[in-house]
Amino acid sequence: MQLKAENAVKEFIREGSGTNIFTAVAESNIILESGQFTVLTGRSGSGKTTLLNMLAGLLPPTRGRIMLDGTDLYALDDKRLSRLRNERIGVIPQGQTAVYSLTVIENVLLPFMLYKEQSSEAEKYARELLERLDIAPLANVKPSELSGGELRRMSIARALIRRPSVILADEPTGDLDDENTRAVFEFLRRTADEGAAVLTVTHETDAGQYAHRLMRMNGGRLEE
Amino acid sequence: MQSLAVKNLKGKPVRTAVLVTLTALLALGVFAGTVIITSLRSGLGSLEDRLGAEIMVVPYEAATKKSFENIILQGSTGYFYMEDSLLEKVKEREGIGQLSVQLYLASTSSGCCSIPVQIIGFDPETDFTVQPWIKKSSTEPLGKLDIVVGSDLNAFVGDTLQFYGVDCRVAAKLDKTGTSFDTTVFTNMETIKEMTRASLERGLNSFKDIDPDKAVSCIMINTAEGYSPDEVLNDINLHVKKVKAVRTKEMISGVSDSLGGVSNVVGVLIGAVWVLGAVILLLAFAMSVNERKKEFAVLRVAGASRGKLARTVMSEALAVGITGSIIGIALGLIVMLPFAGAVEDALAMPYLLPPAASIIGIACAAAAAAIAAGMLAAAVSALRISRIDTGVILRGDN
Amino acid sequence: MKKNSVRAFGFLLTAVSLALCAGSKLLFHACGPICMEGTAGYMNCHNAETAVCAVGAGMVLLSAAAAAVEHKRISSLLAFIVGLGGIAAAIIPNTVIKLCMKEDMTCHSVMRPAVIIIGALAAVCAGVYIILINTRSGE
Repeated sequence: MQLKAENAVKEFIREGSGTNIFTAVAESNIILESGQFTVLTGRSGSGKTTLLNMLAGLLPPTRGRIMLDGTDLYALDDKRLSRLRNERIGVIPQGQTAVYSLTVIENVLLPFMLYKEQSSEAEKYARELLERLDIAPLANVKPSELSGGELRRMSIARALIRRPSVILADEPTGDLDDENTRAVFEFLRRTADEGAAVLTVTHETDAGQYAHRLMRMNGGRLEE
Repeated sequence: MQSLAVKNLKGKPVRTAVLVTLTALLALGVFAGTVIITSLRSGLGSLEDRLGAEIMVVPYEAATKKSFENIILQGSTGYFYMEDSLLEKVKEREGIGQLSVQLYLASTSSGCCSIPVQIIGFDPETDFTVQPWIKKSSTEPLGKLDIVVGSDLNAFVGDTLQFYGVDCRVAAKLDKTGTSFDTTVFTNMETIKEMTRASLERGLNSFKDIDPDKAVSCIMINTAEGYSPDEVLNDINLHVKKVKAVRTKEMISGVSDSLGGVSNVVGVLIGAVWVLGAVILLLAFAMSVNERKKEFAVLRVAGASRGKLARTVMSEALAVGITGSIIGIALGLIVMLPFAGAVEDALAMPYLLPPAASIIGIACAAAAAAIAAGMLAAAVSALRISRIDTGVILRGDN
Repeated sequence: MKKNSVRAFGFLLTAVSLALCAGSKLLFHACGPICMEGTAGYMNCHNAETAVCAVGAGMVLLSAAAAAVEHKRISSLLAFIVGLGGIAAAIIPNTVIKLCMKEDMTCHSVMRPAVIIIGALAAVCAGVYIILINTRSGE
């Protein structure tokens, strides 16, 4: 499995400044492969999240391509791209993200629910993930009753429920304490060891110790 | 597992209750308003049918004092008489096709009933206004002391009602007309003359000098071919003193104008309720979707297409619309059907509920209007949410 | 111990009974002392109104007792009697006690339909309450 950005560029037009074009991501090339845990660090505003969103199929590049096993993601229509993301790309977004009308286990099973593919096997695996992430007792609780760390772990479980070949995590330890931060990085490293291609965008300076590969984003430019 | 739309609605019960209530009020307003307009139109049509004659000739005082109009249009009780010599003079006029007489009486509040009821006697040999209508309920000719009661009189076939000491048998009960005739007793001339004689004997009749065998209250006329009703009417008013001929059409034109006015007002109110309801629903859905932008972003991240996001919002609107419509229509049925009499009293106009099939049709149309308002309101939000920039939203609070 | 939700439904039944009792005199009563066309006096419809009020008063007491009592069977029995009371109230106007002659009068157009609807509602609430008592509360 291979997810790569080929000469991907993302430019935005800054509001209120006429033709002032802001380059969030300069020409970037990155390859994510199975079994590899990549950590991408950089200052705020350096373009890390923008690059991650492009790789996730959520933000079309201004120039260049994003290829997943030879398929140009942005050549697909939204319906097919969304389906592909649902099945093959697990995204752990920034911040505390949940559908608050669903319970924890329903949130985890959301990727199946969207395509009406719930099954007892899926539910069994969901409970396994909750167990591994140490939030099994919270399965039937609503997200509003969870702490920040618990919400993050729920997001991780949701990203993994489809056993995706790619996992993209955006600041997965944003507001967690040291213990939870360690637990999350260890979990992501284990997931990579089990065969997924994992990319984590983070400020954490200690994250590199868990990674197979460390990269840096500086002013929109990718540095190895 | 329930659908995401249903779970979203259940997850926010207060918000959902507000949306459902808005939709219910919308459905109720459209349903009740439409039933009122339809019933008023049916009532007016029924009144025109029931009057039956083109021209009615009454004693001059009865017309000027509006006693006649009050009986026919307002449902009050009363009676008035003219000598049958006047009847002969009217018969002599040109252009008269069909002619029949009626005799009026009102019961007292003792005897049969807790309240006075209007009694109208007709001549079975010449009548062309009452009998066609009676025949729909009973084909048996009225025997001596037989009466036919209007639908709003609390009496049934076989019951005995007493008027001025005269026991009468209820031979038939008429269908509802939505007019004052629903609280009227009809009988043949023989019977009403006996009642009138009894009222005179008891000193309960305001007209002490009349001879029931020679008295007439109202002459019903249809014009002959080749003559216009106005011609005949003017002729009678010019040449026959002490009587007044009135066009039935003119008598009900006042009612028709009032009815038109009320219908227009109700129609405008229905429109205003729908527009206001749709606007409030639009704002409510916009707020609901706006505060859930991050959740929709999560759905995108999890693999929901833009179309799926829009469909989720529209499904919520449909669920709210269906639930609200059912509640609104149910409330409408509870108010408009059992309390139709109270509505009729309040409007003080001919009011006849449409048949069951029409009511079902109106209910379906009102439900459709309410659901459509919700769906249109939600469509705006659905379109907006399908165009969200997921990255921007998720980065929002960092 | 009765669950709060079951007890709440018991008080709902009391509220409906109170609506029937008080409403029959204050809201959907038969016409006032001077009815149509200036006819004064006490008529048969007023007997019906008083009868409904009396039945409603009984229903209020019994439903309050049903809500307060802990014993499932006694509570169910009381609620059942309230339900019967609702049905009885619904058939009082014009069936048990004949109303006025003209059906466009207040006793027919307002009192009767209102009593039928609220009486039926009381009967349904009583039925639901009996089911809730026997399925949800532990003893």
